[in-house]
Amino acid sequence: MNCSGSRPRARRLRGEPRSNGHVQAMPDRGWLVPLLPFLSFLVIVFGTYRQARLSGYVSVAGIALSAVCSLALLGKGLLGGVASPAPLTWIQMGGFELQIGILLDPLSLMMISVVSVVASLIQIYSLGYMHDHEYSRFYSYMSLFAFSMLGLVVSANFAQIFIFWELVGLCSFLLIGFYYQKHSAARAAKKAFVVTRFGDLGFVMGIVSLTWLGMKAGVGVSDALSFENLAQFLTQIPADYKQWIPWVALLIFCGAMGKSAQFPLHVWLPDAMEGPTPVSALIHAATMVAAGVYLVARTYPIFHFDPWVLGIVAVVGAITALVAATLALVQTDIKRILAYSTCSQLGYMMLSLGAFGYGAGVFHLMTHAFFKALLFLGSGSVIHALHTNDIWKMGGLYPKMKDTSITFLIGTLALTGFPLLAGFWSKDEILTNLLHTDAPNHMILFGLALLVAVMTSFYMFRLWYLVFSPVRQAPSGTHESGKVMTLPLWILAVFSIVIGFVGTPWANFFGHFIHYGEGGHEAGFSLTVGLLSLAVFATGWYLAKTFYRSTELPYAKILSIPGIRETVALVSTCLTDRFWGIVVRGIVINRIARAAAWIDTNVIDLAVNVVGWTVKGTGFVLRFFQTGKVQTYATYMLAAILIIFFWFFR
Amino acid sequence: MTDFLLYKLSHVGLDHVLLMGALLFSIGLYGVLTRRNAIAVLMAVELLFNAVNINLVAFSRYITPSLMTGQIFALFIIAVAAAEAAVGIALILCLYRHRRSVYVDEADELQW
Repeated sequence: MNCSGSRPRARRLRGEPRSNGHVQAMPDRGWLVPLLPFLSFLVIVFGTYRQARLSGYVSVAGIALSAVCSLALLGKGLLGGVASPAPLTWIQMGGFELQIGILLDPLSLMMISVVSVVASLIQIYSLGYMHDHEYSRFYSYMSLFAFSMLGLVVSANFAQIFIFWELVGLCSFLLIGFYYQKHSAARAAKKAFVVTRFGDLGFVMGIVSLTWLGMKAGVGVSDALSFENLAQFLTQIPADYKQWIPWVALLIFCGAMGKSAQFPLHVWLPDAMEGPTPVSALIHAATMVAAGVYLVARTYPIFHFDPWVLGIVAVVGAITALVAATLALVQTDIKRILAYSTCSQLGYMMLSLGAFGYGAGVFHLMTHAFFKALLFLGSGSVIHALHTNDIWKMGGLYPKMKDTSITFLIGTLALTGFPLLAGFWSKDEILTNLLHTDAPNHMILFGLALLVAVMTSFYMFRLWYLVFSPVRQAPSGTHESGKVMTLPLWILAVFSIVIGFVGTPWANFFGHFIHYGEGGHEAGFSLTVGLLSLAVFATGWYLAKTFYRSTELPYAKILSIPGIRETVALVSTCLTDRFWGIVVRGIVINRIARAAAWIDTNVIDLAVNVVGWTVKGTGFVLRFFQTGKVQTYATYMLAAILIIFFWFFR
Repeated sequence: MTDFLLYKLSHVGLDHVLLMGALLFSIGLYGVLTRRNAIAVLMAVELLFNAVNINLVAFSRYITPSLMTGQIFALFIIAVAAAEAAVGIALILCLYRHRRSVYVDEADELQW
């Protein structure tokens, strides 16, 4: 993994001191960012596994150092620019060459900073949340995850990103199934792994197709797969093959759909809440599930090549946002509400990316990482105190858990788009972009986005009123979590308030730093959108307040109208596992799997058996030649020599 | 024709010697392949060696008389054959101690 290129190594070999210090040398140290958590993973697994506390500190130290490096790199990137180190050759076989490298551009600099900062805070929080005896296993997985995620973000080509893509999938599997003694957790882990695999199949096919296109364009594998000259590579593809580019983009989008839980592959994300809450916050809210959005942003040229692919991305995003928000309205598990909310927000980002809103989508990805991590950690604090996930068993927590309640409220306001908080700026940018873009059907998408915003506001305030509002009675003996848990909450709350100011419409600092193409596509400020967004926030809040801020809950009356409950149940099951039950059982198991099984037993096994039988039969005949008598063998030798002799001299 | 036969019978040349070597080799080979007694097999192997020696010396004598390479080679073979005979007899002795028999066709356990 030494990607430092040849220059600094040569300098060290000549024995010169590292000239003028840290700043100059920093660009070449990009590999430090993923490597530090990997080191702490190794230290925990091979060294401190028996010392639980120490394992936790090692892991936190690793990720915190990594965050410092990331922020230093980000600072340098903001000031001038960071040079990516030259990629190294990883595999070379004839003309086939794969490279491994560190790509440091504004997008990846932003992502490594967000990932490492959020991961540091969550790991500190976990020191309080997890039990001592779970520490070593938990922190080794978390470090491995941090390594994989940071590696994914700085990957310089498709082959490399795919490896880290699978690594984060593995860590997700391990951490969802962290309480593997629980049957449901083991099942959820399996489900998450298998469902994302559906998408990854498309992803790997897309990568292979890309090398095929590279072959047609006369470009080497390493150049065809590189992110940096992706746009340039696309122009080199011969005209006859250009029609395939959108299909490759769609295949890659399949991978993004699986990882980012886009409809119809969203079913794994709610079940993934079986993992410990910090895991849900880090992996299934802030970072890993955003990898799909990141992938689309990273490979944007290939999507941008043909607008209809972006149209599909937008539609899938819109459907996901709507479906997940609908499902979030009726959940009773606090983490599941947040999970569907995550799903919905990821759909929002995809929608924005698909409607040419590159900067807005990426900006929302960043702000969402902070406030969704905050919300999950807040729910973790509640679960830690009450030992239940059911919001109907919670209530009135505000007087007992002031820190958690206030920070949770800040997170809620940020998510629902309360003015001046993080979500307000990013959501408004998305909406403004949708309003002014020239993407097809943008007004329908704009309407859907507004609707989703109303629902978001509704379900978040429903959650807040049911869990925290002092109207309801708190369970006895509830107490606030420790400082080690509330401090990260407060830090994330501060981020959730201020982080949006880097991308205000008047001074879109973020948009100038991260943009696609020439930039200057930032939407600017729209008073219409601002007012609409405020109205939407207020509507959702008002509805939630009327329904849930009282003790008798008129919501129950609506459900008692004949037919309503059945309709809701039918719609929600159709949208979730029932759908996959039909698809998987009816088509995959009964048709494809059975056919594959038949071919396996009757064709492949037959071929294998024929080989076996041939060897066995030949052996049966040949064994009679092995008499054990030395003179028989001498006779064979004589015969063989005579045959060879006559064959050569005939 | 008669003259040729007479000449061949009265003048001993290379082909006579080679013929004798071939006969000797065939007898040795027959012995190796058919004798049951291991010592007899070893003796037949010595015949094979000597057939080869005769060939080498004959070629050297009749084709490159000045070089003596064949003769030197034959001397080497005699030395190696002596060593081989010593090893062979030691093996046969072991075989006899182990089985109370030196018949090679009875030592056939090494098979399927």
